[in-house]
Amino acid sequence: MDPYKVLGVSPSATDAEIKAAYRALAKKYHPDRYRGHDLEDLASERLKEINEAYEMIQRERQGGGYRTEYSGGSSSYGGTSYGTGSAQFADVRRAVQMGDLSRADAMLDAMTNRNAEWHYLKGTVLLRKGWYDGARQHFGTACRMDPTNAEYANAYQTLNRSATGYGQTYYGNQNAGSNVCNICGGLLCADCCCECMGGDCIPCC
Amino acid sequence: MFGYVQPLKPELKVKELEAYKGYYCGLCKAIRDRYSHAARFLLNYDCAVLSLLLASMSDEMPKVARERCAASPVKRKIVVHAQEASYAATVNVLLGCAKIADNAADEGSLPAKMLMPLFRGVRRRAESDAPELAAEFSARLEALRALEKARCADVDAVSAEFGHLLAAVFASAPFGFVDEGAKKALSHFGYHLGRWIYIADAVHDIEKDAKSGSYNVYLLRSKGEPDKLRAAIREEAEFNLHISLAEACKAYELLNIKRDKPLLDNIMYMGLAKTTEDVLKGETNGSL
Repeated sequence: MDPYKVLGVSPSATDAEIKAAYRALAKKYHPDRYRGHDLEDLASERLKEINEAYEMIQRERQGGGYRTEYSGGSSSYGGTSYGTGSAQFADVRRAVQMGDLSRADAMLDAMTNRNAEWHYLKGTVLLRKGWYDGARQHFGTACRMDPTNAEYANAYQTLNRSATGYGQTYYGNQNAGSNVCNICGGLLCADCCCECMGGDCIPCC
Repeated sequence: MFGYVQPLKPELKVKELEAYKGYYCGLCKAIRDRYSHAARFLLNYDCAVLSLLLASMSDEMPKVARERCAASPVKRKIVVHAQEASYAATVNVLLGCAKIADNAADEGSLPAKMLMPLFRGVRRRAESDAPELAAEFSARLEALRALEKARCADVDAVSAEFGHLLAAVFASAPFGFVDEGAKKALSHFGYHLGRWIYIADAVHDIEKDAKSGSYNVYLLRSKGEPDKLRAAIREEAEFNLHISLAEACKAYELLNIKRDKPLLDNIMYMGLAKTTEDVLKGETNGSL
């Protein structure tokens, strides 16, 4: 493994540059972002790789004294500490945790008592299925029916936040691109476009 | 439903734009080689991105050449001959034929009906090239048609069919570098990209469908004056488009991209964002 490649920096990068690159990547693959997600295991593998690469560089450069700041091990997601809720709802939660979404969904559909927790769990099942519109509606209903419940409010806010996250990335990128230096850079690259075809575009031209 | 997945060109470096065009030309040539000259009319930009994404994950560097073609008989253009283009060509033909069949059935459009027999041969060939994928295509599209016929008003349900279709397209790419982990990430990527495309298309067409009376999931959720339709659904459409892209990006970031990353990043973080913005505002140009 080439640790510099993993972090996407050149071997001549300064310590500060490496740290910045490491931080950005660690944030990108942070367990919080993928918690309870289908791709959680892939993300934690990637984070492990990034941590290892950072450690390797630190070791190489300073001979010890390094410290990684982010650990792949996430805190207790989906633990047992659920609030009130009947035995039926506990069964549904267990099915969701085990990834048996169709069973959880069938159990929910069979219930007649559609209280706030029912809507919250229905939203959770839909979320895991990738049916975000329905998930948001059910989380919203759960919050309206029980405005004091932190679990429901948290689920609703997290879902809304993950949607706004995408828009912000774009606007950040867009504003960064409007200065004369970039225009010059673009012109310089025009000269060497033939050699770069299909090639690795990451190193500077 | 095509042409939504494109880079934001002003933000590309010239070499990146050339690479993008090269993949497009490469796909066109792959369609010609495997299928027919006529099948090149089915060519679409989204499948060029499929070819680009898969090729960028391969260990092998694609061959690059300068070549002439019927569309550019004088000037030699850069063409990227990626191995992955042949798979993208199959997907392109399957998608293109499905679109024509859909138009013929849906709107009874005469040109579509005339084109159907013309592409029957290439369609059969594409089906035999990827039989499992072709079966998934017909199952998903049939389910989608049934939902549309039943005038389904559930955005999740209709967009999921197209999402699963694209998940199969990405995850069943027959290449050595698509291991278990990559398959999982590609499937997640495809589902959310497909979901986004379906919803973006529905938002894009809302006025047109209101006029023609065609099915559109958002028309069933929004009542009011024709000029206020888009504004009425804007908030929920924005949420659904953004969350689909946020999830697609999460999966994209877990792919092992070995080259052309700036170009792919541009598509994922800027091109798709720009299209989303345009679609929500109703400012798209005619190329979609």
